[in-house]
Amino acid sequence: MRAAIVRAGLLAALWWVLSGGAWSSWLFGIPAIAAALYLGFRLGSGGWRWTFAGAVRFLPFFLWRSLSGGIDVAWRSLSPSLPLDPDLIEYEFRLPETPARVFMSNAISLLPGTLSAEYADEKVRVHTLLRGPGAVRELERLEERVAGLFGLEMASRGDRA
Amino acid sequence: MTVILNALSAALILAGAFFFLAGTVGLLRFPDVYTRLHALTKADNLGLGLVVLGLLLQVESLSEGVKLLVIWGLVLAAGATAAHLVARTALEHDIRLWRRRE
Amino acid sequence: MSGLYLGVASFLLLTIVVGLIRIVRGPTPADRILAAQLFGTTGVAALLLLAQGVSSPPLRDVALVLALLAAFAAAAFVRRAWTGGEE
Repeated sequence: MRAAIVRAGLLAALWWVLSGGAWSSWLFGIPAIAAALYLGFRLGSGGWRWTFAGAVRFLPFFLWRSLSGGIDVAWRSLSPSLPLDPDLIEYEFRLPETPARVFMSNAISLLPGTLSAEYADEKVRVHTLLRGPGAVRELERLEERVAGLFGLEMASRGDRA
Repeated sequence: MTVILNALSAALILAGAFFFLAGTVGLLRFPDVYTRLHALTKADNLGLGLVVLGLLLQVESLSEGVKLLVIWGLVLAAGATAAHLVARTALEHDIRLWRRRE
Repeated sequence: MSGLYLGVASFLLLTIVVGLIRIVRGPTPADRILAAQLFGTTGVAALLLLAQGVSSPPLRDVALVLALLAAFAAAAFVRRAWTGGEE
């Protein structure tokens, strides 16, 4: 029930932004919010539980890394020697839950030199612009922040078969 | 004050334009679809981010500013998802990735 | 400032046009799908600048709709235009 109220509040805020705050627009806004709420729960996207403290830590990290990602790829595309040495690697998740994993695979593509290319529940295949350990380190750092964002404990590498 | 704000806004927008240019150059110069996806997804999204930041300094109402941020977030999420879909489908169709020869 | 907005908006349109060379050349269908990405992101930025440059706020809503459509276009391309069938 609380989730529904929070979600309705967010949708109402979104409607207010989209409609520019005109009163008459709520005639359409309220049915639209109701429909969105119904569809949201019907499609079962209820697994996105994130923590506020995690978000405060995640957001600057993500903005900083995507800034670096843009600068990195811009430099590579403008540099005459085209400094690329691509590779395809597999990364096994330590995150325990599917929604967090899906979120992470999307974030991967905005980080420097990594692009998520195939997602299978336990692992993700990542295309990298540069061969070597840098990409894996980047992914591990992202995974820690995503775990924080969703308030999750990560499995340690040793637990895996 | 407006002078400084305008200058900052202009600088951000021009920086944004630079990244859009870099994205297009990457799209043309990079050797395969995977590397091109890197260029488009990252450079263009950063470009849009900088343009949005530059415009945010000029907004006249709160809802206008939030709308700009919503648009940015939407493009960010959609771009990342689309990049993943294209890369995955390319792999499924056995489009080989370009590798540097030693 | 409006000269700057319009100038940068035109410049962005130019980068789209130049980017179309890749779409024409391909060589794979995947390369052509990149058009959706290119139009989506760059087009949204150009529309936002235009909205500011000619003081026409409704253009921001056009940008919003374009952002939504570009996402659907890419997904639809991948599912239908390329694989040529249902899953």
